[in-house]
Amino acid sequence: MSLNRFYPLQLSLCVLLLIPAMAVAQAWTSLSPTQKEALAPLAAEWDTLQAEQRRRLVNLAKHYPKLNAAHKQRMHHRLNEWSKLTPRQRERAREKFQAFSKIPSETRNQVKEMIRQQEAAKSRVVLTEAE
Amino acid sequence: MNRNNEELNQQDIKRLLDQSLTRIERPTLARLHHAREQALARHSNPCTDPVLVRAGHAIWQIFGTQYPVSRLLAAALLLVAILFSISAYWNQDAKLDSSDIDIAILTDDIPIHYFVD
Repeated sequence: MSLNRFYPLQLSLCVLLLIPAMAVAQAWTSLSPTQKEALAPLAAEWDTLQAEQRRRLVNLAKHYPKLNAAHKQRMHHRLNEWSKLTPRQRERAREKFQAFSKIPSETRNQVKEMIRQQEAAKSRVVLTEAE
Repeated sequence: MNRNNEELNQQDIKRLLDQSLTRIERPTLARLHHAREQALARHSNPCTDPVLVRAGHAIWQIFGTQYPVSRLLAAALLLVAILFSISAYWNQDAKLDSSDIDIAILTDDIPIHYFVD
């Protein structure tokens, strides 16, 4: 019996077996220049990050070219802190952020103003202690 | 005594088998002969195909020749399994794509620690 008849079966099995390989985490060297620029603060620790986290960050990097300079700087500033959170903490942060986004804009602005004042007060305390 | 019993038994068995052989119908004999020839041919030509090919061959022999409908069913099941795997992979990827929220958190006026427990 000709083995040619079994090639479709073998090919299908190979495709099936290769699907998990598609989920393998990307190495830093395999990232595009744009992705590297977006994720630059994580260059040193990239290869130690979990596969799932890397995939999320690669998705995040897609937004980077569309950001203005101030937001790019802010993202870079926060990226290390963000990557150090546990997956559960990040998930909770997403939930809270989404919940916060749903409250009326007037209330949201009031909260933002309060936070801004708190942060300014903290900065003043740090400056005073430094002096 | 025991040995005599054993010899008798063996002889009985042989005789019974010979008698059975004479009673087998011609088509059945022909099929047995054909199966024997095939088995001998396989034995004299050791298979050098990879294990996967041999497994596929065996499965095909079982399902393909005896149950043509099952062959189609097996192919359909394999196709469904592949599509399901691809779908699960892309769903997982979509689930992981929370980048819209993440980028908003990372660029918002409010520092991250206000959202962290």
